[in-house]
Amino acid sequence: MAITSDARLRLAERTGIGLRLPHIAEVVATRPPVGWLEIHPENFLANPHGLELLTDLARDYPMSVHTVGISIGSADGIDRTHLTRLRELVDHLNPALVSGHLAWSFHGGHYLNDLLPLPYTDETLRVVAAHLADVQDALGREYVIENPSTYVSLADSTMTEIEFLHALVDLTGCRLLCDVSNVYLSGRNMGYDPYDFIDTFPAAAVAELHLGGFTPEEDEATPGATLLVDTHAQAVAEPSWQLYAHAIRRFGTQPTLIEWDNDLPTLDVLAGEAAKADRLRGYSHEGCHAGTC
Amino acid sequence: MPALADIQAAVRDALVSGDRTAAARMLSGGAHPERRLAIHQRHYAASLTRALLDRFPATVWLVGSELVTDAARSFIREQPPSKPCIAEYGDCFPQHLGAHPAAAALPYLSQFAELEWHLGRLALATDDSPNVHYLHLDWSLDELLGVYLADSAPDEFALRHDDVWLEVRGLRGTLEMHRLAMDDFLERASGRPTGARR
Repeated sequence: MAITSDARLRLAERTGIGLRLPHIAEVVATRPPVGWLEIHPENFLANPHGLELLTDLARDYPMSVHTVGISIGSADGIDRTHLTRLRELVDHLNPALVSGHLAWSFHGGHYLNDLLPLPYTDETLRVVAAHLADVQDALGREYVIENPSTYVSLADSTMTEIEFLHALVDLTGCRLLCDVSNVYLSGRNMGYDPYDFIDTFPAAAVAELHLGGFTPEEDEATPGATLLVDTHAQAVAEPSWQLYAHAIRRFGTQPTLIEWDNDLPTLDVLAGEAAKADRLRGYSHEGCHAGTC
Repeated sequence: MPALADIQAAVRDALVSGDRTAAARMLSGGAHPERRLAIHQRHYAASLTRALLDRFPATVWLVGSELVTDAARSFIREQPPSKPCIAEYGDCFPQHLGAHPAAAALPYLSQFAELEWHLGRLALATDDSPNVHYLHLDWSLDELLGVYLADSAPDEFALRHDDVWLEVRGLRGTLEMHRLAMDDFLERASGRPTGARR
């Protein structure tokens, strides 16, 4: 069930991009020079034609499946029907990585279409660990957990996020997706040093890194102050790039993905972001094209 | 210490109904942490409203974004999503839209939106997925939707109050609408596994 080292090595060599539906026809036609493609599977469960195009792309690109609807922290439990649908898609695509968020989005029969904050407590640890086991059993493969973007925390947390991640790894042996942009914006929003966060992150558990754009918004809780919101609607900001350079010095070369989900740029711009991450990791693009390096 | 379920119920209430009272006691972060829930409240409302407007562009074209947006906002409050595939959210929106006070003078609006719902679904079909659906319409809405799909702008359009027995087919982005005789419609609709609700 573990990620094969060969599949991870292929991902680690070149940066991947998030594949969003408005780009899919162009990616099929032009096969841009990026290392791999990540999808949100929920975009394809009711899109047979989209899945056909994805199947074609999977012949040339390693794939990653990044779920947004599993709600691993939900007290109400996991949506088994959704897991069954995801299993079918995952078996079809055979991605190198399957991942999701340390968050919740479902309660009382309602799906809230957002990644909501969890209290870091023993109860949450038990719930997430149990659901992680269920998800991995249902999908038949490892499920990598991503650190959240944070704007508000729960007052009764008994652990910091870092302590919770260490406890989760110790309890379950899970791998982690370190979203470096989330680390930066959460540190700014919640008043901690993002470099300290990277320095204490469970390095041995890192399986993947994400980078994405964020947008400043007024902090309604503190007039005059600004919050950074994880909109994935802009280029990666310079502070995130600097933190990424620090992260790869600590974590080593890891599969890296550029996320850009809203206000989409041209494919060239997106590929350019991926190339920037490649350069930071010392990867040369000479002589490479889609899926062959 | 509140249980995880109680925390999540309080946050859900804040997002769906706007009532932050219960959640406020459970939060920390800044001088007024409950106000930071606004980020999640805005995202919840905006993302689902956008999803519905994007799913019904012809309906927006027909009656304007103000009516459809207002109906979307009440729909999200009254019938929030129950599953994580947002592309499947909104199958009941045509009926909700038809019941909007501003739609009282538009008795065909609900059926127009329902036709659009099925066209949007079928446009993504392949040979191996459900790719046909049968609808009975009380107006010549297939012709009206055809104007939208053709991006044409006739000087006049006469919507007729007619029985229309419609077969809709979709395949990889292409769409076809065929009027059938009633008997043919009933035979085909009863005998074919369309995967549709009607």
